[in-house]
Amino acid sequence: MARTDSCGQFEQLVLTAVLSLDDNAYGVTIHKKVEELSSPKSVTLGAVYVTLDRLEDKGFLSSWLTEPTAERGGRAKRCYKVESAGEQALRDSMLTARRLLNELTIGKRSQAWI
Amino acid sequence: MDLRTVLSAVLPLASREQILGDLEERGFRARDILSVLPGAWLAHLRREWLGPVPSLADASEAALRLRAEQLRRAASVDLLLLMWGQPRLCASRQPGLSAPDFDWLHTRLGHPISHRDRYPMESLMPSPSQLLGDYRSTLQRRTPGVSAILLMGSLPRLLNQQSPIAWKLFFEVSTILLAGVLLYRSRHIIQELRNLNHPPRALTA
Repeated sequence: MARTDSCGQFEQLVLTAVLSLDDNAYGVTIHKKVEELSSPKSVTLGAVYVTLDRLEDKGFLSSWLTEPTAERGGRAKRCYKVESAGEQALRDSMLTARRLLNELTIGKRSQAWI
Repeated sequence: MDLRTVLSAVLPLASREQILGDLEERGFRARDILSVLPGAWLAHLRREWLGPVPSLADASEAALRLRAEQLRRAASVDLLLLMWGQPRLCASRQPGLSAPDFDWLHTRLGHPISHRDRYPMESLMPSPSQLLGDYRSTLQRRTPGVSAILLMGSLPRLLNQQSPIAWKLFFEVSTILLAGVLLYRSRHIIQELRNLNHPPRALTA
């Protein structure tokens, strides 16, 4: 049976950040958004790069280089876009999280988790 | 010599532009630099082995061939596991293709993508046994050292039927030996794998 690539928690954060940033998703903005989402945990820029690279290899993201800009010392940005496979993986992760939440909030243990 | 020049020299060429731009935008913080360098090199070395990922937006026939080549190389890891008598490890990696790979090939071959018809794509790729046969015959012919590795890989399974302790001992010793042999011959093996010319049947059909 074919293996379906799933998303780790950090990958989910990065995918969500790229999705929410639309056309302005590149290294710095993605890092900033991921830090917001994972607050109070701090996140390094390197960890974001590695994850972006891995997600691109999985086919969840695609990227392209933009024109160089002056505020970046005349250097180009690599912008990212979530592909349909990435959206599907994120949706699957959300469904799993929702099932977990339902399991914990409905039933005997619900009081401890609400 | 300023920091930009030093970083330009130590960053991999493929990602230098965007990383330097990002670091510049964030004011060249030491924490950023220290976290970015290892990741950038790791990604670069992985891409060197697998090749660049083609853009889905402008995927051409050449891109399809490149992706197929990447999948074939990924399958060679399965082969190494098989060679080393680790069918369980290998099975956990099968079929060696991720769901996006199947989707991508489906799209390129003009088939509709659905969960149901994703699985028949497996039959279009070489099976592990086919791969094993292909690589075995080619590598044995070209690299005598690999034959020894293949032999070592098959012995633990034989020993396992007789005595689990002997197998464990043999496995430990032979793993160390294999690591040494692989390190010594890795360049040749990688070259041999690159020279193989067995495109997936999906491309030749």
